[in-house]
Order: sequence, then C-alpha cells, then structure tokens
Amino acid sequence: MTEAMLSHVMDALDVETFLVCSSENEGKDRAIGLMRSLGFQDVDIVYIHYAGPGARVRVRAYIYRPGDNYAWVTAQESRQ
Amino acid sequence: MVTCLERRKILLVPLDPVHDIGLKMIRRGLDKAGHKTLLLPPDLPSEEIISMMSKEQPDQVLISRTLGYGVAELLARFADLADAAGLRDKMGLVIGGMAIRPELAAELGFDAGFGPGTSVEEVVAYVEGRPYQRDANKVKKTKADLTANYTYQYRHNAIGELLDRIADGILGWVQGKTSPAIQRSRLRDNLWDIEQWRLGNINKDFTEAYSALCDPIAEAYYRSGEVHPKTRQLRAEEIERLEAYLTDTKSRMEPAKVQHWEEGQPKVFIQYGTGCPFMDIAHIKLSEAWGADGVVHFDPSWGARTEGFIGDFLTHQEDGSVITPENLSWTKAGLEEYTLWQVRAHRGLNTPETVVLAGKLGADLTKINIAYGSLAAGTDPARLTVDGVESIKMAAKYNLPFDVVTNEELAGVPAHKAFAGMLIVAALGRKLGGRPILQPLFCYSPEVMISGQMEQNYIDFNAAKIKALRKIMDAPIWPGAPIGFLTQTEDRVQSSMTTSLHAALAASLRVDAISIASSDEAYSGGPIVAASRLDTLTAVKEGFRFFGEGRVEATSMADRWADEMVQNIEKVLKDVADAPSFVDALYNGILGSKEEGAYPGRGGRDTIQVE
Amino acid sequence: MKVIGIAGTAKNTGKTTTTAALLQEGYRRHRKMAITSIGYDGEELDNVTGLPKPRLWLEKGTIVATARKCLALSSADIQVLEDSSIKTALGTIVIGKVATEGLVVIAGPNKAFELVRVKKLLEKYKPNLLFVDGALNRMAPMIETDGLILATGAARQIDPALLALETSEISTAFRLPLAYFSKLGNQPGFVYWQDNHWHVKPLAQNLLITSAEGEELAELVSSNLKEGTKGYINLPGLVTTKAIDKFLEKTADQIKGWSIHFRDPVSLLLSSSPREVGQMIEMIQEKGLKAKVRRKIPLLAVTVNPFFPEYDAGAQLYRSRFLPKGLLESRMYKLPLPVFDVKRKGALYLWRKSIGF
Repeated sequence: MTEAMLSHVMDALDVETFLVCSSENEGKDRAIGLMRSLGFQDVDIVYIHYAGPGARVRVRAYIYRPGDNYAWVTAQESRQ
Repeated sequence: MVTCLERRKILLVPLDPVHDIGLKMIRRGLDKAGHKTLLLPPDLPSEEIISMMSKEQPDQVLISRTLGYGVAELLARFADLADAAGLRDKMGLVIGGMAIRPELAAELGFDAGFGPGTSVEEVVAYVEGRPYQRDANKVKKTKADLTANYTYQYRHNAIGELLDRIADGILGWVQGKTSPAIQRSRLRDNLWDIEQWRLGNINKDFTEAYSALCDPIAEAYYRSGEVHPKTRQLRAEEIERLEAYLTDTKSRMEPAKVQHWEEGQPKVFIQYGTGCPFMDIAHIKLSEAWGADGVVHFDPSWGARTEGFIGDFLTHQEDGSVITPENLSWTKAGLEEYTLWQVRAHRGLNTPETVVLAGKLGADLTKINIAYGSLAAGTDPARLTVDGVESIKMAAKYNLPFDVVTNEELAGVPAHKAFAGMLIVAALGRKLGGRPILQPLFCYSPEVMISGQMEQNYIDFNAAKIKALRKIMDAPIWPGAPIGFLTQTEDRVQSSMTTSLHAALAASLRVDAISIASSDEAYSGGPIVAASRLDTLTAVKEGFRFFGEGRVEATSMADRWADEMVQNIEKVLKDVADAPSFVDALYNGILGSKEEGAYPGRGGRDTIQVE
Repeated sequence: MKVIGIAGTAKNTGKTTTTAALLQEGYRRHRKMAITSIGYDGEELDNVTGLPKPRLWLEKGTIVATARKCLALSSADIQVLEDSSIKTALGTIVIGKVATEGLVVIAGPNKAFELVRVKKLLEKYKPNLLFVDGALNRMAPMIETDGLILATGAARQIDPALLALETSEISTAFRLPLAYFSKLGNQPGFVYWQDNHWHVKPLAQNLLITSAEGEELAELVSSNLKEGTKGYINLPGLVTTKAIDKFLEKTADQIKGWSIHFRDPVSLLLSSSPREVGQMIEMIQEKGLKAKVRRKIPLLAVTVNPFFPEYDAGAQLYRSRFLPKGLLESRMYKLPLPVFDVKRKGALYLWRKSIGF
C-alpha cells in the first residue's frame, strides 16, 4: 500500500519541521527516529539548526537513489 | 598585538585530505594577534607531523579534522604518537572540526576541542591562555526604542498646519463625549490593581461596575464564569506544563540577531496569534531564538466586536489569541527581557481598554488607527474617534509608543488617502504627548494592481511611500504588516524570498522596524507552523547579510510618485479640514470611499454618551 | 597500589565491560579500589557510532580521579578530596571519593606524564588497586601501569584469523626481554659501543620516524666502527618500522650481536601496525641482533569481544552485530596468556586470570 503510494516519488521524501528538543544531537536522534518510525530506512538529515527551543530540521528519506529500479518508470511500462 | 614574550608559535595541521577554511581563518586571526604560525600541507602522515612538531617545537598544535568512521582511532593514535615522542608535556594539542566536542577531545587525548560555531577569537584566547569570555562575544540584545531619534516636527508646513487644524477639530468634537469602552478603560485604569489581581484578589466593585458595561457574552463570564463559546479554559495541569516548558526553554535561550548591520537595519517583528497562548509562547520562543526583535499579539476579530474583555487563561481554535489579562500575562512571562511586545488596540470596541491592559501588563508598544478601524475594520467612525482619542491619551499615560497602521489600503483605499488618515492620528498623538510610529504598508495593494505602479518592480512605489512620509513628518517608520503582503504565494521558497527582498528594501530605506510574515502567509487552510516562521527569519537575515550598508536602488519613478503622493495627501487633508468634522469626513468617504472599498463600520454605532 | 591498565585496540572492544567486571569482583572481595581513565570514557552514547555504552557503577568508598565537569554527569555522589590542577578539555582533574553509590563518568588525564602525577596523588589514599580505563585505542599513557589487560575483538578486526595473528604479534612485543644495561646513565636516543673504551653518540632528534632519520642513525653508528665491537642502541620513545628498516639495511652486518633497546612494548606497538612490528622484531632477530625493551609491562590477559558495529550505508547508521560465541578465543588458545570473553567467563575468572588472588 505505502509502496504503491511512494512509487511516484521521483527520488526522495523530505520532512521539514521543527522538533522540540534540548540539544542538536537530540534533534538529530529525534529526526532520524521519526523517519524510521514512518518505515523509512535510507534516511539522512539534510539540514539542522538548533537554538534554545529546539531544532529546525529537514530530514530526508530516499525512495530511490540513482541507479535504483525506479517504480515510476516500471509503473509506466506496465501501463502501456 | 602581543609582545615578543607573549608571542606563541602555533603549528596548524589540516589532517583532512583538503585544506579547510576554518584553519585558515584561525591562522589569519592568530597572525593578526601577532603570533607565529606555520600551516602544514594537508594530508600528511601522522608520523611526519610528529616529526615536524619535534623539529619546530611549537607551543600549540592545532589540528583540524572532520570526524568520520575510523577517524577517532586515527586521532587517538596521533595523540599516542605525540605522547610516545615525549612531546605532550612540551606543547598543547588541540583538535577542531565538525562534530568535535570537548568530551571527544578528552577521549582522543587532546587538550581542547573546538566544534562548529567556534569563533576565531575563542581559539586566539585559548592559545594565549586567556579565559574566553563567551558572554563578551555573545550577541547582546537590548530592547530598542523605535521612537528615540525623532522630533515629530512637521517638515511640510502646509500639511502640518492642516494636520494641527484637523487634530484640534477632533479634540473639540470628542469633548464631553464618552463610550462604554472609555468607561471600562477608566475602570480598568483606576480600580483594577494588577498586583492584587496576580494574588488572586478580585475587586468586587470593579467586577460589578465592569460587567454592567459589557456585552451579554462578557457579562456572562463575570456573572457565572462562562467563557466565550469559541474558547476553552486551559486546565491547571496544562498551565503547569507550560511553566515547566518555559523554565526549560528559557534556560537554553541565547540572544540572536537578524541584523547584519546592527545600527542601520530595522528591528524585525513577527506576528503571533495561533489561538492558543501556549502555542503562541512556543512560537515566540523560537522566533526569539532565530533573532526576532519584537512580537505582535494578534487577537481574534470577534474580540474587537465584543464590548468588554473576559478573563481566564483561554485557548481557542480560530485565528487570533483572545485578549484576557491571564493570556497576556502568560505571554509576557514567556518573553525574553530584550523582546519588544506589541499588543494591538487599533480597531475595535475595546481600543482604550486594550491600551490600559497592555500598559499594566508590561507591553512595549500598541497600535491605534481611527481611520483604518472605522473604514475597514467594522467600527463606527464616531465611536472609534471618541475611543481613539482616549486610547492615545492612555498610550501616552502608559508610555506606550503606538504604530498607526494603514491596512485600509488592502481594502482598496489609495495610499495617499490611507496616509492622510494615518497622519491625522499621528498628529493627534503628537498633540496628546504620545509617540506615534508611521506604518505604511509594503504591499501589492489593490490600488497598484489597478493603476499599475508595481508592474515594473516592487521597489519604486514602496520607496515612494517612505519618501513621501519623510517629506511630511520627522517620525519613526515601521512598514508592515507584514511587508510584502499579497506578493507571497503558498510556496515557501517564493514566500521567504519576497519577504527577504522587501526587508532588504526596507533596510535600504533605513526604516526603524518591519513586521514580517511566515512563509505560510498565503496559506489559509490552517494555522501558521513553527518551521515556516523560521523560514522568513532566516531569509531576512540572509537579505540583511547580503546588503549590509548597501542599498536597493529605486528608479526615478519613486521620487515622482513621492511628490504626487505628498500633493494628494495635502488635497485630502484640505478636504477633511473643510468637512464639518473629521467624523463626517470618514462617513463621507474623504479618507476612503465605498468605491474604493472603504465602508464606515457599524460596530458600536449610537453608543456614544454625553459625559 | 598496583596499577592495572585496561587498553583497547579500538573502540567497542569491551574496555568498559572489562573494567566494570574487575570492579564488581573487587567489591565482592572488599578491595579498596581507585579508578581513573585515559581521557574520557563511560559516556552514554558512543561518540562516533551513536550506540549506547555502559557506564561504570561505583560503590561507596571508591577513589576516583576524574575531570570536574564529569561530577555533575554522575549519579553517584562524589566527595571532592583535592584538585590536581591538571587541566583537561573537561575541566581540571579532581580526586574524589564516592559517598553514595551510583553511575560515574570517568575522564582522567590523557597524557602519560599526567598519569604519573595522578598516580602519586591517589597513592595517598592507599587503595589496593588502581584501574586505568583506556579510551578508544589510546595506548601511550599505559606505559605508566604495572600490568595491562588488552581488550580486543571483532570491532578491531572482523576476521578471527587476522585478529589472532595480530594479537599474537602484540603479545610478542610484550614478551620482549628487559634490557639490563646501565652504562653511562643509559639515556634514550643514544648509541653506545665498546672497543677499547665506551663510545657514546646522541641521535640528532629524540625520535626516529622517517627513513632519512634511519639513514642518519646508520651513518652515526657505522662511521669509525671497528670490527667486532659490542654495543647497543637506546632508541628514542617513538620510532617507526620504516626508519628501523632503513637503519638495519645499512648497518646490520656491522653490528651483529648488538641489542636494540626499544623504550617499552607500548611505544614499540605505536611504531606501526602490530603485523609490521612483529615482522620487524623477526627481522632484527634474523639479522643476529637482539630486540629488548628498557621497560617491561606485563600483558596480563586479553579479553575478546564478539561485538562489532556494522555500518549500514543505506540507512547511514551503525547496527549492533556479534560474531558467534567462542569463535575469537578458539583461534588464540596457543597464546601464552589467558584469552577470553569476559561476558562468557565472568568477573571471577577475569580477576583470577589477571590479578590472581
């Protein structure tokens, strides 16, 4: 189900948010943890800026890296 | 410069495969301080570096290396080699780079570790054996007085005379008139003791007299404790959590700045009003942490149409946070001492009392505009004129500068008419000992959409507004609200960009403050989110960094339009002065007609009483 | 006071597990113990891999030498006895006594000469044992201990055969004989030889790192050398196998029967990888020379840890993995010292094998 939903994502899914936390490391852990909890494995923090109240983050889950088998191509093939 | 006795020899070692810029910056700082530095080529084997250390016998060895897998072991081995070579009691070993923390430096066998965000000055201090005063270099922030440098002198004599005549006319007209709002505001001023209130002591005389002056909704609160149907009282445990959150967050707050050129670039205000005071405070904290200088309280529009305030710590799921003494008091508790706080009074049926509450609860600024409030915000012109004068008096009494916003432009009123209204209120302020701040809009207004002044660029017409106002009065200017209004789309990059550019324009025009939107400005499907607030603060900071003391240059159209604007303002003011009264002028469309989208409001009509 | 060092060959080789087991057994035996570390260890999260790490549980009466900033991070109450004024990245090192038991973060001195000072300070409080917990793969300060336990394992080398080989080379270095020679003050970085009388020549630098420096040493020795002289070379603290190779290439024939004195097994092992150090020792012996150390530190035991962090490139994080139980030690049973997995054999076994009674 989720896979089908993600198959039209060209390459990656970014989550942009603000995480309430008390250090940059905590922010990183929480950001990665968040993506993991959503079922993503290939995740990375693109950007994080921490200040007092928490961290502004952009955390990414790659659906396809270059060279992968892109479902948005195969899906189109099967349609034809 | 250090003396020859204090001069240190420092070996700089890039252990990365490439030279890093940080080490070069540090080298420059050390050289400037008079130390002797030696920068090794990148990527030397550890043994060769040890050999150099032994030959050169520096006082300190500064190594830069980005951490990665296996690098910790490499650095630890390096420390071991230095130890085994008998160099560790002869020189200091310092590590710097991404992901380096003091604990890691200790673990790796170094004397000190400098991570990202380390200033060159910090490293120089370390090398010289001085304690580094982080505080001395930390951003210092004090509350700015936006009105400090202004005389409020008229620069255009004819307009000045007109404004004085109109202001005198208004003061004469309101003589002997009063309203429920004025009576409430005086009760609040005289009988409501904030210290007693904080102790939970309710003044029955105040409550009784006050509830008699309220709408049924507010009256019900005082009679039976019912709160407004759109609101919910925050529970005791929620308040406890807020307190814990605040204590925790405040302990971690560090002052931050958006401005790059401190003295010359405007103070930056954000607007909050999520509906929930708790969320407001959370948003305020992160805006402060990202450098906002001031915050503006947005209350719900229904609050302006209800006679009287209720109490309690109230949350609410619509736009705007309800003004109650508790809500304002909590918000104030959440603010850093250097943050400017504006509570808007400008437009409704509680204008003078809002000023009193704001003053008693420690706000720094308020907002008053009779013309806007009665032409585009639904309040009866006569009522708001009476209330407005009282508001300005209260603002003077509580020492609150107030901006005079010209949002009627957004309804379609041409800038020169909105400005005429703004200047009249400013002239009243001047007469009553208040400190008005002019607030022209930096927006893509209906007027320019129709007449095309922004077809070519967004610069000229906005610049013309500032130039025109400066030709008339020596007063502070705070474009808003928010700048770039109606140029923003739902796209966060576009939205942040246009805000940043408008901020840069405002800075070029050397205005005193700006209000900025979040990158959610154009989205109307729900509340603003935290991340979007930071987008525009970051974008504006970058804009300020980019321009510094440099300027955005307007074309010659700006001067032409400014001159036209001044002439038109004079014409409008003449008409107002010739009208039977200012209130008549408002009703008759002189400061904005129905064709232009201005409709005299009905809220509070026929509520003026004879004193 | 006996000083026992626990050194690791890499991060995650089980130093802290070994130290914790020693403490546990020591408490059971009512020994008065002191603990410090080389730099910082016992942090909750491994700085590099992000995996959780155990911290040390200390009971009342334990003497600690740790950086001041660590006191606040510890759940045990520590009464500060004195400040050593030794500076570290985490504040000065203080000597303290555990007042109420709890977890403690230890960050001790991270240089050899500072460990000497800390040892002196701790001696005043008369502990039976001082444990020096290593950090990462830090080794150099361990020369100041009376005996060493080496923690190694899959985190250092995942191939059991290669790990066994490397451990064997390490134990060879520790088994080098002690050099008994006290002629003329016996200073490091000097060459001594005797024909009719003793000759002394100093090395230019107090280290021997580059092959050029090896060549310099060769020239120093081989010029004016008469046939059949006896002598020895007191190598400086830090040498590399590369420099030694170069030196021997030029002089081995002239100095047959001489002794080459390394400072100690720990700094010898720093000269290159254990494999290359082993080959160098072999080569010295093959050429008819004797490799010795001026200072001997007994290697008491080797503990092996099957754990290793595996990097998941896709997820960009480390995952915990373990080699099968017993796989590592089975390769090393021939070594003339105890090799075992502390988690399997337990604290009592560790104590018996490394401390004895």
